[in-house]
Amino acid sequence: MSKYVVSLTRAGRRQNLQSQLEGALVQTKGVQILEGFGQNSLTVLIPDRVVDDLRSQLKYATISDFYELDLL
Amino acid sequence: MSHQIWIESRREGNPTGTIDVVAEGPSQQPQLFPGIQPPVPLRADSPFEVIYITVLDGGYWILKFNKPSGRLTQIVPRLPQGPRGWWHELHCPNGAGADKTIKIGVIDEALPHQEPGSSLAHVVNLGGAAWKGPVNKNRAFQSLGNHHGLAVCSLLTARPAHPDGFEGIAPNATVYFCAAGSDTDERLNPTRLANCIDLLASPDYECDIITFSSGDGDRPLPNIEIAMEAAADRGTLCFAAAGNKGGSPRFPAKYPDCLAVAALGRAGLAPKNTQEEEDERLSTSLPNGLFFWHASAQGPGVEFLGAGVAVFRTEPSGGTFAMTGTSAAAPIVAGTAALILGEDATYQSLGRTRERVNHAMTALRANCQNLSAGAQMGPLVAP
Repeated sequence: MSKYVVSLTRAGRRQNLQSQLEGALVQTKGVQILEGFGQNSLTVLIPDRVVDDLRSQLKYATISDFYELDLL
Repeated sequence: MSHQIWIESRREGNPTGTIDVVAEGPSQQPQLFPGIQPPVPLRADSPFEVIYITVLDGGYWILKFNKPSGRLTQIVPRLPQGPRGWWHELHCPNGAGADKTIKIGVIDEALPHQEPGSSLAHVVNLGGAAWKGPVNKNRAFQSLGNHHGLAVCSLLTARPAHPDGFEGIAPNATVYFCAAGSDTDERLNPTRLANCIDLLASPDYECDIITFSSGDGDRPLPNIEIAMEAAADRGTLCFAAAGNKGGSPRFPAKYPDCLAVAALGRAGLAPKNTQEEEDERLSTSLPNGLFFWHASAQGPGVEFLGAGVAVFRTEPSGGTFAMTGTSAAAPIVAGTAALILGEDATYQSLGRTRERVNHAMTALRANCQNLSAGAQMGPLVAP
């Protein structure tokens, strides 16, 4: 189980697929949305074994590693 | 091995008062020796690598002694006084200008609530307005470190009460602050950063410019890339610090819709035995008495250079401090862009589409001096 950032693609934003994305995530066993409800970018806990499957399913979203940014 | 150093430091123009000393060694955490009444001996089990001498309430340079030994004696020199510094002369030689029409969004760790009369009281603090979920929004008003958000806002838009304080580069701009701090330390949460960009570029706020001073990421951040792309589609320019690790800009500064800002300094400004003097020595000379900061990101992907070595900020407390980093350069360049665009009637007549961004970039580039060519054409600086 790791933390990821899930974000709508440009096309996903144009079609306002926020709720569809949240629905697809919560229906996936073991996935938990931590932050970003109703927004274009979400922090999500995803079991490592399902990440690749989710990536291939969610054509209108990107899944990337969660890491925090340094202040410069 | 026992190691002993005698330190004697007094404030320039004020021999009384206390000075804090921080000593760092090869195998120890930084040691603080608060409230030093000079002269004082410092003892440690291993030799010190570096000693910093700091007047905590501001107004003075921070002294730095590398591999110190024996007796250190130096008067701690005062910082210059405001309201305008060398970076104002470089980037906005004609004064602050009428820039109220331009709306700037700042995204950083946190910004405390400001009292009426504060130098940042005019900043609209949106706190954690972009955070949706079971989160502690009080975090948006509390720095977990060195008050980086306060520093960035002060450089951008401070209106200090005291005439000796340094004003921001765009004190008349309309400024919104959005927090994106991590829950656990003084860094930015990537989800909050992207959603802050969305919020500030939205029809609710319609920021013309967004600036943030974080990055140096080593892996892609597609959510931030898409948020900046969407902001540009809504007519919003996104500036970001290019990075403090040298080399090319990293994520997210390297993305196409992000205007990466690298840092330069003014030669001959810093007194001896300061970090800033060391920075100048390690840096590359540029024309017009400037230098390119040695630790700044550089090369393809850098859009602008901005003052970012030994710029001074006056905080709401009244204290003035020197600051170095591309974190400083980004708000200074964003504020300069606000000054230029605030006088561009065509820009302001355009709708909130990418055409507005394209026009802004043409206008900003027309106001750039290209240092490699040595030509002085305008207040912005091109790499």
